[in-house]
Amino acid sequence: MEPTTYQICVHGRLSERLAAALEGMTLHSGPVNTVFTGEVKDQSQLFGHLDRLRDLGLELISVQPQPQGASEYLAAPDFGEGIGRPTEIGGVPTLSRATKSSVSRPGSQQ
Amino acid sequence: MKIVVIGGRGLIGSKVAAQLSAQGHDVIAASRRSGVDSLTGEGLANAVAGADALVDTADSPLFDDEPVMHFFTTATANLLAAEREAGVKHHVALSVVGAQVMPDSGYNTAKAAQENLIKDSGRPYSIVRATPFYEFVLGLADSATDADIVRLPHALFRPIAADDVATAVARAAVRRPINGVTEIAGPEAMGMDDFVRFGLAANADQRRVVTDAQAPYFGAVIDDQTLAPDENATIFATRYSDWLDTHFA
Repeated sequence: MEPTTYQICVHGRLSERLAAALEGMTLHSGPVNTVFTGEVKDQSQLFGHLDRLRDLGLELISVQPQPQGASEYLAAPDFGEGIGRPTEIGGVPTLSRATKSSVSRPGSQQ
Repeated sequence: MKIVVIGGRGLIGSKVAAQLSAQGHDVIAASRRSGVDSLTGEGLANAVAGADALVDTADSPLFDDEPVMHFFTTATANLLAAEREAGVKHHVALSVVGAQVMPDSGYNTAKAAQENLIKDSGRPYSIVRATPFYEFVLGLADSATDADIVRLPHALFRPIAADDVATAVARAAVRRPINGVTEIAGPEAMGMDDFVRFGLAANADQRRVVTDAQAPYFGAVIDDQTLAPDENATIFATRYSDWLDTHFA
């Protein structure tokens, strides 16, 4: 695969001490979930990140490659609350609402 | 010696495991990937069988008060029970300077609860309390950022390099239990605002740091005394400027 920007969403508000847990990824803590965003150079690195998250005992919500040139998504991470967590909708940030469908289905854009 | 390192793949634990292995010890770097989960107790009995010492460097991944308290008290209770069962003769834990003096901080309250469980367990132990690590600088900045402005107090503290923390923990693991607390700190006292200011500058980060005495650190307002190590603290040598040169150059 080509180097690709990914957003990896896990359940819970992560401590800032984990900001460097995934090399090259930036952490955004939302009220309910936490999103790591950054470039992943190959599948091996991607699985390395997922292994690290599993080691931390975190609940994985989603792994989403981002469309090329979609830098605006980086400033507004998709916290993934829409996925099977209806009771937590109250905590959803509204930032990425309008773009959510395109963010969660990058394949349909290419 | 056979030494089990819980959190053996983490920032400190991986360094502790590497140092102890290099010294010729039989080290088990325990993590969920190796089948050990200190929160559920899974795999613990096997991991600690025949061990001389257990080192706990695992940190709570979650930030909120309740999960942090659950993490440290549950994991510590599980570890102590497994050690008692297996006859492990030394429990070494990494804690934080200020653990017993920051009741407003959910994190420090949880670390204090962890310390108390260890002290009250009747098991031989050594607790190493460290000041915040240089490695936290960008995460600290991110947590205090609002619209490109970083608000932090000028509270003095003595941050320390993770490598030095690992050295102190590894040293404690091969010594006899002190049944008490050792505090460790870095060589220089600096304000938390300046700590982040220098870190951002070294990383070519444009955010501006504003000094704000009321800005919280882990939910608590702190002053020059809050994170000060005790007078018998071991002072380590790695300077912040040298660490920045190595990590952000």
